[in-house]
Amino acid sequence: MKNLIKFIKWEYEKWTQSIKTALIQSTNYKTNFFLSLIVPICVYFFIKYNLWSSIYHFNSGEKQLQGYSLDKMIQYQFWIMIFDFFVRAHFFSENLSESIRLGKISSYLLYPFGFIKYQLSLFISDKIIQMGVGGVALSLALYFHFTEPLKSSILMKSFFLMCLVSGFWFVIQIIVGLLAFWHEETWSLNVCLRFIAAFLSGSLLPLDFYPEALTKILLWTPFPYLIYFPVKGLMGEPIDFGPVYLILGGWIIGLSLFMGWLWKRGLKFYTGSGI
Amino acid sequence: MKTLYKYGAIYKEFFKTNLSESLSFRLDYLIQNLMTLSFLATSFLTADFIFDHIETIGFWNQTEFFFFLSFVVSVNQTHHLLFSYNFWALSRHVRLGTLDFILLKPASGFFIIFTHHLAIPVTFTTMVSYGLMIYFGREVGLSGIAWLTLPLCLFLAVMLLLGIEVLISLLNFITIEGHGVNQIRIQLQHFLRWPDFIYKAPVRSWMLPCLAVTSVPVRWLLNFDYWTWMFLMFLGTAGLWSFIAVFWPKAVHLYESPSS
Repeated sequence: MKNLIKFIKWEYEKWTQSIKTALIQSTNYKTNFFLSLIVPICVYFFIKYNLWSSIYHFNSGEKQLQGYSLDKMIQYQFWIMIFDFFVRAHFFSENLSESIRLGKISSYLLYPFGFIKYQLSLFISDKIIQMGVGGVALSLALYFHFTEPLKSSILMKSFFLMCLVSGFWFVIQIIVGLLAFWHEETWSLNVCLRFIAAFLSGSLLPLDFYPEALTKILLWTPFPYLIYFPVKGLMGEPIDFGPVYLILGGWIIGLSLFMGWLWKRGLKFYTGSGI
Repeated sequence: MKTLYKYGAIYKEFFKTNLSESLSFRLDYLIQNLMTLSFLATSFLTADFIFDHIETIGFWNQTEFFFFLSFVVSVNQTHHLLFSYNFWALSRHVRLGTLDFILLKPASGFFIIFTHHLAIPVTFTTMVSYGLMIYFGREVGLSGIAWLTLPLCLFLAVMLLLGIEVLISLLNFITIEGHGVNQIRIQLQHFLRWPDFIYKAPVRSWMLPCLAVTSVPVRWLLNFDYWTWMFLMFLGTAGLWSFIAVFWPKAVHLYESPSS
């Protein structure tokens, strides 16, 4: 029992210290932090706001497009922005692949805190910052009556979904990063994945605008559950959260197993070049 | 003339080095093409899905809009192929203090900094985007003069975009970490992907020099009544580069050379 308490205390220390260091590193360069985390999401929303306003303005005969009035479309885009603040995955797969490429992971293999655990602590620190930024953005929107206050049940369900989506992106980022064991540069793969995910998840425009056949196929992939369904839920539309949790959870478990396998296989190829 | 030959020879060497480097990493070659193809596909498919439900975006119908989009991706790909990597390299050089070695070389530091790295793998997708531009140019029925001036418009657009980005990149000399500076450039590129008329009047006037990169040439190619806009864009680009010629040396003076 005494050993167990000691072990928990050690683990707690290791996790908190790693998260604290990562938090300091992320927020050290404040301008950089602001330009990298906040500006892109706001610009993305601003462009889409202007685009859809002009589409509805120039097609004034159309009061609704695929069931979306201008107000509803702006709300959809607004909730994507808020959701993005919370779940957007940063390019930490690049750090991971660089560590592998330059042989930096050798030291992590000797530390008493595993490499994947360390990556997870970086991810948690990122999420803490994002929660703060997202919380402020949401509070401002509520204060200026840009959106209606959410029901607590929807808030809880959406929060859980946000955690799942973040978890999904974490696993994907690690998988892409681990590919550096076989392939030197992984950033292009990451960018490619982002383009495809943004398009197929309904981040650019709601999936209701897509051809029906494509939407049916997409439901078998994780993409619609990353943006479209969570945002619909946040807009207060009747979404059955249960199947969404199950599908996303299933993908996370499957991909995590793959990640574990990839890590073990990758270590066999690791030469420690650059030490 | 001698100077021109000298820089031509330097550029040829840069090209050869980049080519051999990119051919050494064949998988990366393939993935980078996949990345740009996915960018092209998602851009056109998004517009196509929108046009399934509406007749026009602003003043343009689907064909005109697709011509605009193909011009945008052509500018984007040309910029990516020839210059994009150099902006990231500049941030790295300033941060790590390796800019010293470039500034000491017996050639223009500005030339070396902004032409050293080429994204050879995207040559294929750049050709694809030119192909799309020609295809949609035929679809919208561009006139003979428009066809003749199309390469010049593309050149002018790339030069204006490059000028604006070089101006932004001067911020590297007053910041410690240049990632944020590059983020400003990337966000600017997002603005250019849509025609100027989607933005409301105040934004249009503030962002006009940036929005002009893609909107003015396409407006002019589709309708010659916009010749004054085109002329102003030409003057603006020339003015911008004169401004850079003055301010670049001043910015380099701010460089603290952290490696020394």
